[in-house]
Amino acid sequence: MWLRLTMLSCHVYSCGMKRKITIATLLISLLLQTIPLTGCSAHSRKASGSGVYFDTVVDILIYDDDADRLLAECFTLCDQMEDIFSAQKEGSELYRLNHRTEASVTVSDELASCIKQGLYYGELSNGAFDITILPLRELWSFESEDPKVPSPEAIKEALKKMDYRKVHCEANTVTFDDPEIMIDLGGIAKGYISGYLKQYLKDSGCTSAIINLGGNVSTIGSKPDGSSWTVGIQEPFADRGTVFEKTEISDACLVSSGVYERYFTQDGKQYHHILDPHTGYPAETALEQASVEGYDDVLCDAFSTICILVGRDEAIRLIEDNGLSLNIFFVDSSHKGEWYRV
Amino acid sequence: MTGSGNTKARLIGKSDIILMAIWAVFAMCLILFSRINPLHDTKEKMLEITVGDRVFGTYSLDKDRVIEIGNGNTCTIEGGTVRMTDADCPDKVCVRSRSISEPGESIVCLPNSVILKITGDDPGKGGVDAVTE
Repeated sequence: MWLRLTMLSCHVYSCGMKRKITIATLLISLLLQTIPLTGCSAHSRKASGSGVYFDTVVDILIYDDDADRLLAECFTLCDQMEDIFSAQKEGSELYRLNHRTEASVTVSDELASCIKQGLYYGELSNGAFDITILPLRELWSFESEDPKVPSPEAIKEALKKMDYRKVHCEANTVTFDDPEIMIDLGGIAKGYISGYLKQYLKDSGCTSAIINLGGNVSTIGSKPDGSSWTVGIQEPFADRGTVFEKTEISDACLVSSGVYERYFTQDGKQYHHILDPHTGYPAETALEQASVEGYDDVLCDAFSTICILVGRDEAIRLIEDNGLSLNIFFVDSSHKGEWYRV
Repeated sequence: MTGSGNTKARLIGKSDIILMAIWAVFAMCLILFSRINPLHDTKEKMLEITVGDRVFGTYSLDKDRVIEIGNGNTCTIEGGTVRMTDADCPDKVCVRSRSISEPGESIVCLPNSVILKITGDDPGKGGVDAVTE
Protein backbone atom coordinates (compact mmCIF):
# COMPACT_ATOMS: atom_id res chain seq x y z
CA MET A 1 0.00 0.00 0.00
CA TRP A 2 2.72 2.46 0.98
CA LEU A 3 4.75 1.45 -2.01
CA ARG A 4 1.92 2.26 -4.40
CA LEU A 5 1.19 5.63 -2.82
CA THR A 6 4.76 6.81 -3.03
CA MET A 7 5.08 5.63 -6.62
CA LEU A 8 1.97 7.53 -7.51
CA SER A 9 3.20 10.72 -5.90
CA CYS A 10 6.50 10.42 -7.72
CA HIS A 11 4.73 9.97 -11.00
CA VAL A 12 2.30 12.87 -10.52
CA TYR A 13 5.00 15.34 -9.55
CA SER A 14 7.29 14.39 -12.40
CA CYS A 15 4.68 15.23 -15.01
CA GLY A 16 5.54 18.38 -16.84
CA MET A 17 8.01 19.58 -14.25
CA LYS A 18 11.69 20.19 -14.30
CA ARG A 19 14.06 17.30 -13.87
CA LYS A 20 15.49 18.81 -10.70
CA ILE A 21 12.11 18.62 -9.05
CA THR A 22 11.64 15.08 -10.29
CA ILE A 23 14.89 13.98 -8.72
CA ALA A 24 14.10 15.77 -5.50
CA THR A 25 10.72 14.09 -5.42
CA LEU A 26 12.34 10.78 -6.11
CA LEU A 27 14.61 11.23 -3.12
CA ILE A 28 11.74 12.30 -0.90
CA SER A 29 9.62 9.36 -1.96
CA LEU A 30 12.57 7.04 -1.36
CA LEU A 31 12.76 8.39 2.15
CA LEU A 32 9.05 7.85 2.56
CA GLN A 33 9.55 4.34 1.28
CA THR A 34 11.91 3.46 4.13
CA ILE A 35 9.43 4.58 6.79
CA PRO A 36 6.93 1.76 6.33
CA LEU A 37 9.79 -0.73 6.15
CA THR A 38 11.22 0.19 9.53
CA GLY A 39 7.70 0.72 10.80
CA CYS A 40 6.93 -2.86 9.86
CA SER A 41 9.72 -4.32 11.96
CA ALA A 42 8.86 -2.04 14.88
CA HIS A 43 5.34 -3.47 14.81
CA SER A 44 6.57 -6.80 16.10
CA ARG A 45 9.38 -5.90 18.43
CA LYS A 46 10.84 -8.92 20.12
CA ALA A 47 11.78 -9.16 23.78
CA SER A 48 12.88 -12.22 25.71
CA GLY A 49 14.20 -12.91 29.16
CA SER A 50 14.74 -15.54 31.84
CA GLY A 51 14.42 -15.45 35.58
CA VAL A 52 14.38 -17.83 38.51
CA TYR A 53 11.07 -17.93 40.37
CA PHE A 54 9.24 -20.61 42.35
CA ASP A 55 12.45 -22.68 42.36
CA THR A 56 12.27 -22.97 38.63
CA VAL A 57 13.26 -21.09 35.49
CA VAL A 58 10.82 -18.81 33.74
CA ASP A 59 11.55 -18.08 30.05
CA ILE A 60 9.36 -15.55 28.26
CA LEU A 61 9.45 -14.43 24.62
CA ILE A 62 7.11 -11.66 23.50
CA TYR A 63 6.45 -10.11 20.08
CA ASP A 64 4.67 -6.79 20.44
CA ASP A 65 5.04 -3.04 19.83
CA ASP A 66 5.58 -2.71 23.53
CA ALA A 67 7.43 -5.99 24.11
CA ASP A 68 10.08 -4.69 26.52
CA ARG A 69 7.59 -3.15 28.91
CA LEU A 70 5.32 -6.23 28.81
CA LEU A 71 8.29 -8.50 29.53
CA ALA A 72 9.34 -6.44 32.55
CA GLU A 73 5.75 -6.39 33.79
CA CYS A 74 5.53 -10.21 33.47
CA PHE A 75 8.56 -10.65 35.72
CA THR A 76 7.09 -8.20 38.22
CA LEU A 77 3.95 -10.36 38.25
CA CYS A 78 6.13 -13.45 38.83
CA ASP A 79 7.62 -11.72 41.86
CA GLN A 80 4.15 -10.98 43.21
CA MET A 81 2.95 -14.54 42.55
CA GLU A 82 5.96 -15.95 44.38
CA ASP A 83 4.90 -13.95 47.44
CA ILE A 84 1.49 -15.60 47.27
CA PHE A 85 2.02 -19.23 46.24
CA SER A 86 5.26 -20.51 47.70
CA ALA A 87 4.37 -22.97 50.49
CA GLN A 88 8.01 -23.01 51.63
CA LYS A 89 8.68 -19.28 51.59
CA GLU A 90 8.10 -17.90 55.07
CA GLY A 91 5.84 -14.89 54.96
CA SER A 92 4.17 -15.89 51.68
CA GLU A 93 0.40 -15.72 51.71
CA LEU A 94 0.09 -19.50 51.44
CA TYR A 95 2.59 -19.98 54.27
CA ARG A 96 0.54 -17.67 56.47
CA LEU A 97 -2.64 -19.55 55.54
CA ASN A 98 -1.03 -22.85 56.55
CA HIS A 99 0.19 -21.37 59.84
CA ARG A 100 -3.17 -19.81 60.66
CA THR A 101 -4.66 -19.33 64.10
CA GLU A 102 -8.32 -19.15 63.03
CA ALA A 103 -10.42 -21.72 61.17
CA SER A 104 -11.45 -19.13 58.58
CA VAL A 105 -9.02 -16.88 56.74
CA THR A 106 -9.61 -14.17 54.15
CA VAL A 107 -7.22 -14.48 51.22
CA SER A 108 -6.39 -12.62 48.00
CA ASP A 109 -8.39 -13.14 44.78
CA GLU A 110 -5.46 -15.06 43.28
CA LEU A 111 -5.06 -17.50 46.16
CA ALA A 112 -8.82 -18.02 46.45
CA SER A 113 -9.14 -18.71 42.75
CA CYS A 114 -6.24 -21.19 42.75
CA ILE A 115 -7.54 -23.05 45.84
CA LYS A 116 -11.03 -23.29 44.31
CA GLN A 117 -9.60 -24.81 41.14
CA GLY A 118 -7.45 -27.18 43.19
CA LEU A 119 -10.53 -28.38 45.12
CA TYR A 120 -12.39 -28.80 41.83
CA TYR A 121 -9.69 -31.11 40.45
CA GLY A 122 -9.82 -33.03 43.74
CA GLU A 123 -13.52 -33.68 43.12
CA LEU A 124 -12.98 -34.45 39.44
CA SER A 125 -10.31 -37.06 40.18
CA ASN A 126 -12.06 -38.56 43.24
CA GLY A 127 -9.28 -37.40 45.51
CA ALA A 128 -6.37 -38.63 43.40
CA PHE A 129 -5.36 -34.99 43.10
CA ASP A 130 -5.32 -33.56 46.61
CA ILE A 131 -4.11 -30.05 47.48
CA THR A 132 -3.83 -30.99 51.18
CA ILE A 133 -0.89 -33.28 50.39
CA LEU A 134 1.69 -31.00 52.08
CA PRO A 135 2.35 -33.18 55.21
CA LEU A 136 3.11 -36.17 52.95
CA ARG A 137 5.27 -34.11 50.59
CA GLU A 138 7.28 -32.75 53.51
CA LEU A 139 7.68 -36.26 54.91
CA TRP A 140 9.13 -37.67 51.68
CA SER A 141 11.10 -34.44 51.02
CA PHE A 142 12.20 -35.22 47.47
CA GLU A 143 13.92 -31.82 47.36
CA SER A 144 16.36 -32.75 50.11
CA GLU A 145 19.90 -33.96 49.40
CA ASP A 146 19.36 -37.46 50.71
CA PRO A 147 15.70 -38.49 50.50
CA LYS A 148 14.65 -41.77 52.18
CA VAL A 149 11.50 -43.86 52.30
CA PRO A 150 9.60 -42.80 55.46
CA SER A 151 8.39 -45.33 58.00
CA PRO A 152 4.88 -46.76 57.48
CA GLU A 153 3.82 -45.20 60.81
CA ALA A 154 4.95 -41.74 59.75
CA ILE A 155 3.08 -42.13 56.45
CA LYS A 156 -0.05 -43.18 58.30
CA GLU A 157 0.23 -40.10 60.52
CA ALA A 158 0.65 -37.81 57.50
CA LEU A 159 -2.38 -39.33 55.74
CA LYS A 160 -4.53 -38.47 58.76
CA LYS A 161 -3.72 -34.78 58.21
CA MET A 162 -4.90 -34.85 54.60
CA ASP A 163 -8.33 -34.48 53.05
CA TYR A 164 -9.26 -31.86 50.48
CA ARG A 165 -12.92 -32.20 51.55
CA LYS A 166 -12.00 -30.49 54.82
CA VAL A 167 -11.16 -27.27 52.95
CA HIS A 168 -13.89 -24.91 51.79
CA CYS A 169 -13.55 -21.74 49.79
CA GLU A 170 -16.40 -19.25 49.51
CA ALA A 171 -15.61 -15.98 47.73
CA ASN A 172 -12.33 -14.93 49.42
CA THR A 173 -12.78 -16.90 52.63
CA VAL A 174 -11.01 -20.22 53.13
CA THR A 175 -12.41 -22.38 55.95
CA PHE A 176 -10.73 -25.47 57.38
CA ASP A 177 -12.58 -28.25 59.26
CA ASP A 178 -9.32 -29.42 60.82
CA PRO A 179 -6.53 -27.16 62.18
CA GLU A 180 -3.83 -29.60 60.98
CA ILE A 181 -4.78 -29.40 57.30
CA MET A 182 -2.20 -27.60 55.15
CA ILE A 183 -2.35 -26.69 51.50
CA ASP A 184 0.28 -27.29 48.82
CA LEU A 185 -0.49 -25.84 45.40
CA GLY A 186 2.59 -27.35 43.73
CA GLY A 187 0.37 -29.37 41.38
CA ILE A 188 -1.35 -26.35 39.84
CA ALA A 189 0.44 -23.13 40.84
CA LYS A 190 2.67 -23.17 37.75
CA GLY A 191 -0.37 -23.58 35.54
CA TYR A 192 -2.20 -20.86 37.43
CA ILE A 193 0.71 -18.43 37.06
CA SER A 194 1.34 -19.12 33.35
CA GLY A 195 -2.40 -18.68 32.77
CA TYR A 196 -2.30 -15.43 34.74
CA LEU A 197 0.63 -14.09 32.69
CA LYS A 198 -1.11 -15.19 29.51
CA GLN A 199 -4.29 -13.33 30.49
CA TYR A 200 -2.29 -10.22 31.37
CA LEU A 201 -0.53 -10.26 27.99
CA LYS A 202 -3.77 -10.84 26.09
CA ASP A 203 -5.50 -8.03 27.96
CA SER A 204 -2.58 -5.80 26.96
CA GLY A 205 -3.25 -6.60 23.31
CA CYS A 206 -0.33 -8.99 22.79
CA THR A 207 -1.01 -11.57 20.06
CA SER A 208 2.26 -13.50 19.97
CA ALA A 209 4.21 -14.84 22.95
CA ILE A 210 5.53 -18.04 24.49
CA ILE A 211 6.05 -18.70 28.18
CA ASN A 212 8.07 -21.61 29.55
CA LEU A 213 7.45 -21.78 33.26
CA GLY A 214 9.66 -24.56 34.56
CA GLY A 215 8.66 -26.89 31.75
CA ASN A 216 5.03 -25.80 31.50
CA VAL A 217 4.91 -24.30 28.01
CA SER A 218 2.14 -21.84 27.28
CA THR A 219 1.59 -19.85 24.08
CA ILE A 220 -0.35 -16.82 22.94
CA GLY A 221 -1.47 -16.86 19.32
CA SER A 222 1.13 -18.02 16.82
CA LYS A 223 4.52 -16.74 15.71
CA PRO A 224 4.64 -13.37 13.91
CA ASP A 225 4.92 -15.15 10.53
CA GLY A 226 1.65 -16.96 11.26
CA SER A 227 3.15 -20.39 11.86
CA SER A 228 2.43 -22.38 15.02
CA TRP A 229 4.84 -22.70 17.91
CA THR A 230 6.79 -25.95 17.92
CA VAL A 231 7.03 -27.48 21.36
CA GLY A 232 9.20 -30.46 22.20
CA ILE A 233 8.28 -33.06 24.80
CA GLN A 234 11.13 -34.05 27.10
CA GLU A 235 12.20 -37.68 26.67
CA PRO A 236 11.70 -39.51 30.00
CA PHE A 237 14.98 -40.41 31.73
CA ALA A 238 17.08 -38.84 28.94
CA ASP A 239 19.28 -35.77 29.39
CA ARG A 240 17.27 -32.68 30.06
CA GLY A 241 16.35 -30.97 26.80
CA THR A 242 16.22 -34.20 24.77
CA VAL A 243 13.16 -34.01 22.54
CA PHE A 244 11.06 -37.20 22.36
CA GLU A 245 8.12 -35.84 20.37
CA LYS A 246 7.18 -32.53 18.82
CA THR A 247 3.82 -30.88 18.62
CA GLU A 248 2.59 -27.67 17.01
CA ILE A 249 0.39 -25.44 19.13
CA SER A 250 -1.21 -22.01 18.81
CA ASP A 251 -2.70 -20.28 21.82
CA ALA A 252 -2.55 -23.57 23.71
CA CYS A 253 -0.30 -24.95 26.41
CA LEU A 254 1.57 -28.20 26.97
CA VAL A 255 2.50 -29.68 30.34
CA SER A 256 4.44 -32.89 31.00
CA SER A 257 4.48 -34.90 34.21
CA GLY A 258 6.37 -38.07 34.82
CA VAL A 259 8.14 -40.45 37.13
CA TYR A 260 11.52 -39.31 35.72
CA GLU A 261 11.30 -35.73 37.01
CA ARG A 262 12.42 -36.42 40.59
CA TYR A 263 13.18 -39.80 42.06
CA PHE A 264 15.61 -41.70 44.21
CA THR A 265 16.57 -45.34 44.47
CA GLN A 266 16.53 -47.29 47.72
CA ASP A 267 17.19 -51.02 48.02
CA GLY A 268 17.03 -51.35 44.25
CA LYS A 269 13.58 -49.76 43.97
CA GLN A 270 12.86 -46.42 42.36
CA TYR A 271 10.68 -43.95 44.25
CA HIS A 272 9.32 -41.05 42.17
CA HIS A 273 7.86 -37.79 43.41
CA ILE A 274 4.20 -38.13 42.32
CA LEU A 275 2.66 -39.30 45.58
CA ASP A 276 -0.68 -41.07 45.79
CA PRO A 277 -2.73 -39.41 48.56
CA HIS A 278 -4.69 -42.65 49.04
CA THR A 279 -1.67 -44.86 49.80
CA GLY A 280 0.95 -42.34 50.89
CA TYR A 281 3.48 -43.88 48.48
CA PRO A 282 4.57 -42.94 44.93
CA ALA A 283 1.74 -43.70 42.48
CA GLU A 284 1.87 -47.26 41.09
CA THR A 285 1.68 -46.48 37.42
CA ALA A 286 2.26 -48.07 34.02
CA LEU A 287 3.20 -44.65 32.63
CA GLU A 288 6.57 -42.96 32.44
CA GLN A 289 5.07 -39.67 31.36
CA ALA A 290 1.90 -37.88 30.33
CA SER A 291 1.98 -34.62 28.37
CA VAL A 292 -1.29 -32.72 28.27
CA GLU A 293 -2.14 -30.22 25.54
CA GLY A 294 -5.10 -27.87 25.95
CA TYR A 295 -6.26 -24.30 26.32
CA ASP A 296 -6.62 -24.07 30.10
CA ASP A 297 -3.20 -23.89 31.77
CA VAL A 298 -4.45 -24.97 35.20
CA LEU A 299 -6.35 -27.92 33.75
CA CYS A 300 -3.28 -29.07 31.78
CA ASP A 301 -1.07 -28.79 34.86
CA ALA A 302 -3.48 -30.66 37.13
CA PHE A 303 -4.40 -33.26 34.53
CA SER A 304 -0.83 -34.24 33.67
CA THR A 305 -0.39 -35.21 37.35
CA ILE A 306 -3.82 -36.88 37.44
CA CYS A 307 -2.81 -39.05 34.45
CA ILE A 308 0.17 -40.47 36.35
CA LEU A 309 -1.99 -41.01 39.44
CA VAL A 310 -4.97 -42.75 37.80
CA GLY A 311 -3.37 -44.27 34.69
CA ARG A 312 -4.16 -43.99 31.02
CA ASP A 313 -7.58 -45.67 30.83
CA GLU A 314 -9.05 -43.86 33.80
CA ALA A 315 -7.63 -40.54 32.52
CA ILE A 316 -9.35 -41.06 29.17
CA ARG A 317 -12.59 -41.95 30.95
CA LEU A 318 -12.35 -38.70 32.94
CA ILE A 319 -11.81 -36.72 29.73
CA GLU A 320 -14.81 -38.32 28.07
CA ASP A 321 -17.14 -38.14 31.10
CA ASN A 322 -16.33 -34.48 31.73
CA GLY A 323 -16.17 -33.40 28.10
CA LEU A 324 -12.64 -32.02 28.48
CA SER A 325 -10.87 -30.69 25.41
CA LEU A 326 -7.42 -32.21 25.84
CA ASN A 327 -4.88 -34.07 23.74
CA ILE A 328 -2.47 -36.31 25.62
CA PHE A 329 0.84 -37.91 24.70
CA PHE A 330 1.27 -40.99 26.91
CA VAL A 331 4.62 -42.72 27.32
CA ASP A 332 4.25 -46.19 28.84
CA SER A 333 6.78 -48.05 30.95
CA SER A 334 8.24 -49.73 27.84
CA HIS A 335 9.17 -46.21 26.67
CA LYS A 336 6.63 -46.20 23.83
CA GLY A 337 4.78 -42.97 23.11
CA GLU A 338 1.24 -42.65 21.80
CA TRP A 339 -1.14 -39.72 21.27
CA TYR A 340 -4.67 -39.68 22.53
CA ARG A 341 -6.57 -36.97 20.70
CA VAL A 342 -10.06 -35.80 21.49
CA MET B 1 10.39 16.98 -19.30
CA THR B 2 13.12 15.99 -21.69
CA GLY B 3 12.96 19.07 -23.87
CA SER B 4 10.37 18.16 -26.53
CA GLY B 5 7.62 20.76 -26.58
CA ASN B 6 5.19 18.77 -28.70
CA THR B 7 4.74 16.15 -26.01
CA LYS B 8 3.07 18.54 -23.62
CA ALA B 9 -0.22 16.70 -23.93
CA ARG B 10 1.39 13.38 -22.99
CA LEU B 11 1.16 12.60 -19.32
CA ILE B 12 4.02 10.12 -19.24
CA GLY B 13 7.24 10.69 -21.05
CA LYS B 14 9.85 8.08 -21.93
CA SER B 15 12.19 9.23 -19.19
CA ASP B 16 9.39 9.00 -16.67
CA ILE B 17 8.93 5.36 -17.49
CA ILE B 18 12.66 4.72 -17.22
CA LEU B 19 12.78 6.60 -13.94
CA MET B 20 9.84 4.67 -12.58
CA ALA B 21 11.35 1.39 -13.70
CA ILE B 22 14.66 2.16 -11.99
CA TRP B 23 12.80 3.31 -8.96
CA ALA B 24 10.62 0.21 -8.86
CA VAL B 25 13.65 -2.07 -9.20
CA PHE B 26 15.37 -0.19 -6.41
CA ALA B 27 12.31 -0.49 -4.18
CA MET B 28 12.08 -4.20 -4.89
CA CYS B 29 15.74 -4.66 -3.98
CA LEU B 30 15.19 -2.76 -0.77
CA ILE B 31 12.26 -4.94 0.19
CA LEU B 32 14.03 -8.17 -0.74
CA PHE B 33 17.11 -7.12 1.18
CA SER B 34 15.11 -6.32 4.27
CA ARG B 35 13.30 -9.66 4.04
CA ILE B 36 16.33 -11.82 3.48
CA ASN B 37 18.69 -9.96 5.72
CA PRO B 38 16.76 -8.00 8.33
CA LEU B 39 19.55 -6.01 9.94
CA HIS B 40 17.91 -5.78 13.34
CA ASP B 41 17.55 -9.57 13.65
CA THR B 42 20.81 -10.87 12.29
CA LYS B 43 22.72 -11.89 15.34
CA GLU B 44 25.57 -14.29 15.70
CA LYS B 45 24.91 -17.22 18.01
CA MET B 46 26.33 -16.41 21.43
CA LEU B 47 26.47 -18.04 24.82
CA GLU B 48 25.03 -15.81 27.50
CA ILE B 49 25.77 -16.70 31.12
CA THR B 50 23.64 -15.23 33.88
CA VAL B 51 24.26 -15.59 37.60
CA GLY B 52 21.26 -14.54 39.65
CA ASP B 53 19.81 -11.52 37.91
CA ARG B 54 23.00 -10.19 36.35
CA VAL B 55 24.76 -11.19 33.14
CA PHE B 56 28.11 -12.79 33.89
CA GLY B 57 29.28 -12.64 30.29
CA THR B 58 28.60 -13.45 26.65
CA TYR B 59 30.88 -15.64 24.56
CA SER B 60 31.16 -16.57 20.91
CA LEU B 61 30.54 -20.24 20.13
CA ASP B 62 33.30 -20.20 17.51
CA LYS B 63 36.15 -20.40 19.97
CA ASP B 64 36.62 -23.48 22.17
CA ARG B 65 37.17 -22.56 25.80
CA VAL B 66 36.51 -23.48 29.42
CA ILE B 67 34.74 -20.84 31.49
CA GLU B 68 34.97 -20.79 35.29
CA ILE B 69 31.72 -19.13 36.30
CA GLY B 70 32.83 -18.56 39.86
CA ASN B 71 29.61 -19.65 41.51
CA GLY B 72 30.95 -23.18 41.67
CA ASN B 73 30.08 -23.91 38.04
CA THR B 74 32.28 -24.55 35.03
CA CYS B 75 31.06 -24.70 31.46
CA THR B 76 32.86 -25.67 28.27
CA ILE B 77 32.42 -24.46 24.71
CA GLU B 78 33.60 -27.09 22.26
CA GLY B 79 32.89 -27.36 18.56
CA GLY B 80 30.04 -24.84 18.76
CA THR B 81 28.21 -26.61 21.60
CA VAL B 82 28.07 -25.80 25.30
CA ARG B 83 27.96 -28.14 28.31
CA MET B 84 28.05 -27.56 32.04
CA THR B 85 31.12 -29.65 32.78
CA ASP B 86 31.31 -29.16 36.53
CA ALA B 87 29.16 -27.89 39.37
CA ASP B 88 29.31 -28.04 43.14
CA CYS B 89 25.51 -28.20 43.50
CA PRO B 90 24.01 -31.30 45.18
CA ASP B 91 21.70 -32.51 42.41
CA LYS B 92 24.01 -32.07 39.36
CA VAL B 93 20.98 -31.67 37.10
CA CYS B 94 22.89 -29.08 35.07
CA VAL B 95 25.84 -31.41 34.46
CA ARG B 96 23.46 -34.12 33.29
CA SER B 97 21.73 -31.72 30.89
CA ARG B 98 22.07 -32.16 27.17
CA SER B 99 24.61 -29.92 25.46
CA ILE B 100 23.17 -26.78 23.83
CA SER B 101 23.98 -25.08 20.55
CA GLU B 102 20.78 -23.56 19.12
CA PRO B 103 19.24 -20.16 20.00
CA GLY B 104 16.73 -20.45 22.82
CA GLU B 105 18.27 -23.57 24.33
CA SER B 106 19.47 -23.33 27.90
CA ILE B 107 21.09 -25.21 30.77
CA VAL B 108 20.15 -24.21 34.28
CA CYS B 109 21.77 -24.77 37.64
CA LEU B 110 18.97 -23.85 40.02
CA PRO B 111 20.85 -24.23 43.33
CA ASN B 112 23.56 -21.80 42.16
CA SER B 113 21.22 -19.61 40.04
CA VAL B 114 23.39 -20.05 36.94
CA ILE B 115 21.74 -19.98 33.50
CA LEU B 116 23.57 -20.80 30.26
CA LYS B 117 21.59 -19.67 27.27
CA ILE B 118 22.23 -19.51 23.53
CA THR B 119 21.12 -16.19 22.06
CA GLY B 120 20.78 -15.23 18.42
CA ASP B 121 18.24 -15.71 15.67
CA ASP B 122 15.09 -17.77 16.08
CA PRO B 123 15.51 -21.52 15.89
CA GLY B 124 15.74 -22.97 12.42
CA LYS B 125 13.42 -25.54 10.87
CA GLY B 126 14.69 -28.42 12.97
CA GLY B 127 14.50 -26.46 16.20
CA VAL B 128 11.75 -26.20 18.73
CA ASP B 129 10.56 -23.04 20.47
CA ALA B 130 10.43 -24.68 23.90
CA VAL B 131 10.72 -28.08 25.58
CA THR B 132 8.57 -29.40 28.44
CA GLU B 133 10.20 -30.89 31.53
